[in-house]
Amino acid sequence: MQKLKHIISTTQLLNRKLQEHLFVSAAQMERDDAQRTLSRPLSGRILATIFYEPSTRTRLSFEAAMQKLGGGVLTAENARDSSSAAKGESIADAIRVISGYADVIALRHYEEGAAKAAAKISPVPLINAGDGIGEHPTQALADIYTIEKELGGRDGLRVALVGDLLYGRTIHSLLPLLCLYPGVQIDLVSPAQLRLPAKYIQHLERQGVHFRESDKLGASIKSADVIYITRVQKERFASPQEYEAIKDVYVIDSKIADKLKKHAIIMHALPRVNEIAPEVDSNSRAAYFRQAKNALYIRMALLNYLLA
Amino acid sequence: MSLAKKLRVEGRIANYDREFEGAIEIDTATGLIEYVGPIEGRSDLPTDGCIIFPGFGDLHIHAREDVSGSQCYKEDFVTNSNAAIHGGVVHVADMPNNPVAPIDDEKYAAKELLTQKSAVHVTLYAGIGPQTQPLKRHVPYKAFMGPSVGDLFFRSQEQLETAIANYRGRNVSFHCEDPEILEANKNAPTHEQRRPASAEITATEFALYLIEKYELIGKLCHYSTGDGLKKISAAKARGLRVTCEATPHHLFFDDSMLTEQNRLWLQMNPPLRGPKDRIALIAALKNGLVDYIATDHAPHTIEEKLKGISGVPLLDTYGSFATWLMTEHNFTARDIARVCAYNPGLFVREFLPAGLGKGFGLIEPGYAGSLTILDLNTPYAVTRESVRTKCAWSPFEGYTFPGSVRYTVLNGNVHQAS
Ligand SMILES: [Zn+2]
Repeated sequence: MQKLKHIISTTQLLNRKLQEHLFVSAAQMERDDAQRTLSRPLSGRILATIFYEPSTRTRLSFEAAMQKLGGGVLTAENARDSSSAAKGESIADAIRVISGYADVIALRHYEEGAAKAAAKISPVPLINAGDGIGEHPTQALADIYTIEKELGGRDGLRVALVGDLLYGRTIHSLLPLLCLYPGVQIDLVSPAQLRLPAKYIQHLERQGVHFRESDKLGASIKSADVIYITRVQKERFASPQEYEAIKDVYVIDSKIADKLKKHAIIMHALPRVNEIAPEVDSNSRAAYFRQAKNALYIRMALLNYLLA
Repeated sequence: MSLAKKLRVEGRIANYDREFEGAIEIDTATGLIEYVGPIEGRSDLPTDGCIIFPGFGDLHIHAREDVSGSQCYKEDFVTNSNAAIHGGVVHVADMPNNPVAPIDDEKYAAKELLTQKSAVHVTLYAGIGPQTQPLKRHVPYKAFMGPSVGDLFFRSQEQLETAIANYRGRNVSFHCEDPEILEANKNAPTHEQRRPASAEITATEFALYLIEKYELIGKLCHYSTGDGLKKISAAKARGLRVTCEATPHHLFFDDSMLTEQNRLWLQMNPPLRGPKDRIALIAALKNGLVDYIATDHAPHTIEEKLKGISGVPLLDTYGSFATWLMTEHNFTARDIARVCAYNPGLFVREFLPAGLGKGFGLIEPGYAGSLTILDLNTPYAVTRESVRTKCAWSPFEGYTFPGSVRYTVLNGNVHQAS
C-alpha cells in the first residue's frame, strides 16, 4: 500500500496491515518510553499545532508525542482569535506560511471539512486533529488500539456507544474501524435528539453490521464488552436549557460499572464532565486513562510514520 | 484447491467471557484456529462430558535444563513437555535459576536453542542478579529476592533496588521473600517458621514500590499470604501494572494438613501457610485479584526430597487441578479459562515468535490451534506411575481429582492425555 501523506479521515486507516504496523510501532514506543530508551528519530523536525478551537489535551498529546521523538513544536492554541485569522487571513494562507516553518501540521478546526481543504494545499503532511462534527482520526485509531490491547481484537465484539452520538466526532471516526471486526454488534444508546446521523446509520446497514438503537443504557450493561461514553458538549446546544435537560441522562457510577462483565472496559475520550463518576476510576474496567496514554503512543507512531 | 488438513472439534467451548456449544477448525499446516462456528455433528474427537478450553499456560516452571545439563537428572525440556501435555498445558514459561543462568543475550539464546525439543512452546525468563544488565531482546525477567535454589538472589533490599534501577520499564516477575527476615528466622524449628508470612508481606511492599518507581510491568510469583493480597489489591486500584500468580499447592494444602509423613514432600518456598491464607487465596483467584494459576513446577528427585530440598512437581496435575476448583470451589468454566488460559496468554503474547498467530488464550480465529479438553466425568487418581515428569513423583499421589485431561491439542496435533 502506498504511504499516506496526510491523515485526514479514518477511511484512510482501514487497511489492517497499516494498522498493525502502527500498533506494533506504538507498542514499541511505549516500551522504549517506559525504559527511557526512546531514540530521537525526528530530531530537528518541527510540528506546528494549529488549533482554531481549544482542545488543550489533544494539543498537549500531539506536542508531547513530537517532543518525545526528539522534534520541536510550534503552537497556536487560539488560532481563531489570536492569530491573523482574527484579521481575516484565510486558513489557506495560514497553511502556506506555516508549512514553510514546520515539517508537519496538526490542525484542529471548528468546521467539518477544514482539514481536507487544508491538506489539498499543504506541502507538508497534515494531520486532522478534529474538524467540527466531522472526524478525529488519530483519536479513533487510539481507541481501536486500546480495544485491541485490552480485549485482544475479538470477533463478535459487543460495543455500546453511549451519549451524544449526533455531534460526537470521536464516535463518527471510530465507527468505520469498528465495522472491520467480524461479527461486531453495536448498541447505539442516546437521547432521541442526539441520535447517530443518518449517513452513519446507512454506513452500518451497508456494511451489514448488527446494531440496535435505544435511549436506555439498561439492556447494554450486561452484554457489552466495551462501553464508550461521550461527553454531552454544552457548546453544541442552542440554549443552556436544552443542555441542562439532557446532560445527566447517561451517567456511569460504581453501581453500573460493577454490573458490567468482568473484562468489559469503559472508554471515554476525556475530558469528562459528569458522565463517569470519579468513584469508577479505581474500577479495573475503567480504561479511559490508559486510553489517553495510548493516544500519545499512537500519535508518536503516526508522526514517525509520516516523517521518518 | 487446498489440500491442507483440518482438525475439527465440536462441543462445549469455554472462553474467559463466554461459554457456548460450537465447532473449532484448526488448520494443521499453520497450526492456527481457522474457524469457530456452530455445531454440525461432525467432530474429529469425542468430547462428551468435556469442556473445550483454550490451551492452558503455566507461567512458572523450572524445567531444569541448561547448556551444562547438570540438572537434567531431575527434568529436561522433553520430559517437562511430556508432563505439560499430560497436564493439559500447551505453553510454559521457564525460570532462569539454572547453573548456567540466562542473564545476557548470548546465554539466553543458547538456552532457547535447547527448548526446540519441547513440544509445548517455552517462553524463557532472563535472570536478574546483582551484576546483570537488561538484554537487547525484549524478554520477561525474574528477580529472586531472597536465597532459594540457585545463585540469582539478593542479600538486601538496597542491593535489589540497585540492580532493578537498570531494568526500568521491563517486565519483571518477583519471588517475594525478604532476605533479611529469612536470615533472622533461620534457626526456627520448622521450614514454615523459618520462612514466615512477614517475609512475603515485607517483600511485597518492596516489590510494589519498585514496580511503581521504575515503571515496571510487575508480576508477583507463587503468592501465598492473605494479608499481602490486600496490598496487591490497593496497588492494582492505583493503576500499577502488576499481576499475581498462585500455585496449586498453596490453593490445595495448608499447614494444618502437614504431618510427619508428608512434611518433607510438601516443603517448598514460599512454604504452606495457614487455612485462612488458603481460603483468601482461593477467593482472590475467583474474583480476579490473583491472575494466574502457575505451578512453580520444581522437580527434585525422591532422594533429594528426603534430604529436605524445597520444591514440588506439578505440571502433570495442572488440568485435573482445574477440575478440583470447579467441583470443590464452584469455579465456572469461564473462571478457569481466565486464570489458566486467557491471562497467561496475555502475559506471553508480546514475547512469542512469529508463527503462533495472535498467540494463546482464546478460542478465536487467528489464535494458536492449541486446546485443553477437560473431562469432568472421569476422575484422575494420581499415582507415581502415571506422572511423566522425570523426577517421577507427585505431591498429589493417593489423591483422586474429580476430573481429568482427555486431550491436549498442540497446534492442531492431538495428544491423548492418558
Ligand atoms: Zn519458582
